[in-house]
Amino acid sequence: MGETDYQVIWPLGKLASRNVTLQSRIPDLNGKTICEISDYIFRGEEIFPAVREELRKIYPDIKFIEYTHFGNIHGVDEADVIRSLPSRLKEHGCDGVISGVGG
Amino acid sequence: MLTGFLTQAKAIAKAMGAKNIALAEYPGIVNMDSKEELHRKVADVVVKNIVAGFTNQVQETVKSIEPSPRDIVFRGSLDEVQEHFYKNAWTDGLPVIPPTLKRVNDFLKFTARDPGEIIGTLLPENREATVWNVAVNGVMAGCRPEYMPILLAAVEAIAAPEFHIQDGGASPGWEPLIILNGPIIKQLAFNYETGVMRVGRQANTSIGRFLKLYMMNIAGLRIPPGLADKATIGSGFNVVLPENEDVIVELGWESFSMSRGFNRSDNVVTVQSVVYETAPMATGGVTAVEHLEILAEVIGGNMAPWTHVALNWGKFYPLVVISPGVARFLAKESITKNDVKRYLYDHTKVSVKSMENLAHAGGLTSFNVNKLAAEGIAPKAYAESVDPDRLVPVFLRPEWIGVVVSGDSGRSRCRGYVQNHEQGMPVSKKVVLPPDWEQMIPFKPI
Repeated sequence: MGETDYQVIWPLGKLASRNVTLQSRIPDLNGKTICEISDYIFRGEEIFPAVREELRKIYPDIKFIEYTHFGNIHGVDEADVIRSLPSRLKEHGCDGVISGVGG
Repeated sequence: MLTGFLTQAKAIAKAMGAKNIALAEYPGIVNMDSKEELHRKVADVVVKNIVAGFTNQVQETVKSIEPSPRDIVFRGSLDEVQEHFYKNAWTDGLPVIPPTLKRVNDFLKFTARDPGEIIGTLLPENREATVWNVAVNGVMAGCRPEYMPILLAAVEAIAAPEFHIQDGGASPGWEPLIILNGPIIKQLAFNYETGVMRVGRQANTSIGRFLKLYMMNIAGLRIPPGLADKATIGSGFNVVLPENEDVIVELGWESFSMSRGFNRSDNVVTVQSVVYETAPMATGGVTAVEHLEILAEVIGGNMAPWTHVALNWGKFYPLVVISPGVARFLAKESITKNDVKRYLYDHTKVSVKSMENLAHAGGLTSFNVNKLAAEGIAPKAYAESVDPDRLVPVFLRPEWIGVVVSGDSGRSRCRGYVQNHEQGMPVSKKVVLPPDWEQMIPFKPI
């Protein structure tokens, strides 16, 4: 006698996300405002200043809004901080964002 | 983005619908680099990646087509089903019960809820948790259909925003723990005596397995070749921990669920994270305080290495499991659960210097106890001076310590379970039973 033939159901769930359209890229960062967002771990307090220094060598006219303006995205108030980001980034006129340090 | 987290970032970006988001790699493990090495890597690698991310045009992503919830996705023998599910990363490495339509429908008989009801969406993979797929995964985990009300309550708990399921793959490698209260413990033959927290009893074991399997399949928290689980060194799933409610009633103590605002007669599931457990310490002595001293020294002391993590996020809900023998001894001197919590809080300390060293080594490079107190995250008691050798409480608040009575009635051991700050915060949900529950339970308890 043959083995039972099982007809089995998919165990996952429907994906809730929709595709996000990414903004067009910025060909030249001179004159642009780059905002920093930090999770306050993995030596971001050293990495962000080093990134600024090196980017200024390539793009002397680049402007930064430092991460201290936006709160901690991985701290006690992370939900509130993240919720406030769209409006705050707009307030500061951000053309691009560097978010770190991922880990 | 550190190298070790790139694959996780790509998986999460894909799940959020932004598959081609720009990621700038920092090569290696940043905590191990000198200041000079860090700056060199930023100059030579990170900034080049950042510039590429800003300037290179990206392709639009196309969402892939997936099955519908009720689709038959495979037909085959038992072995062929196992291979297919394993290849698709739909299992936890153990054989699964094939989720056929009949088996899923048997589970659905134990709830009045619509199978299509969306309980929540689980990050990081961002999939819908539904009554239907709770039943599917319950079948797979080897649960009985009558466990369905508990499965639903557990998933409601992890879907709650305050649970932070999105951090289920965090580096320390925490696991969820279900704590169970109520008459359902005996109705479904859970073990709450000798060998509690061990595999062996179907209810405890299969429900514990279900929750982990569900977090893998719906939240996407899979180890390699999966991408979202970043536990450095993980641990296995936790079986369900039921409280010994006979002893609780005998002693006139409040149950764990009562301490969380429920009535004694409610069936309640609480889910919280466990990042590690303490030594299973035997306590002894002819006075209650002698037992409490050992609890503070060993169990409280074993929890001290995690205080810096808790303080950084201002949340810490550790659990202490006391065996009935110890509970009875303490109750003879009118000690209550709240007294145990207060004693642990008052008598377990850790040095600020130790906390700050551990924090900085672990990547919390901005951690400073006095700064946390000034920001209102750490209680004021932590910043009474600037002496780094000063001792401060291990536990942030006594009322945040959970106490559960369970285990071998004839022994005097206790064990602690360390919870991971805001990740896996304790969330309690009432178990909702179907109208004909008493008639539906197929067998009487052991």
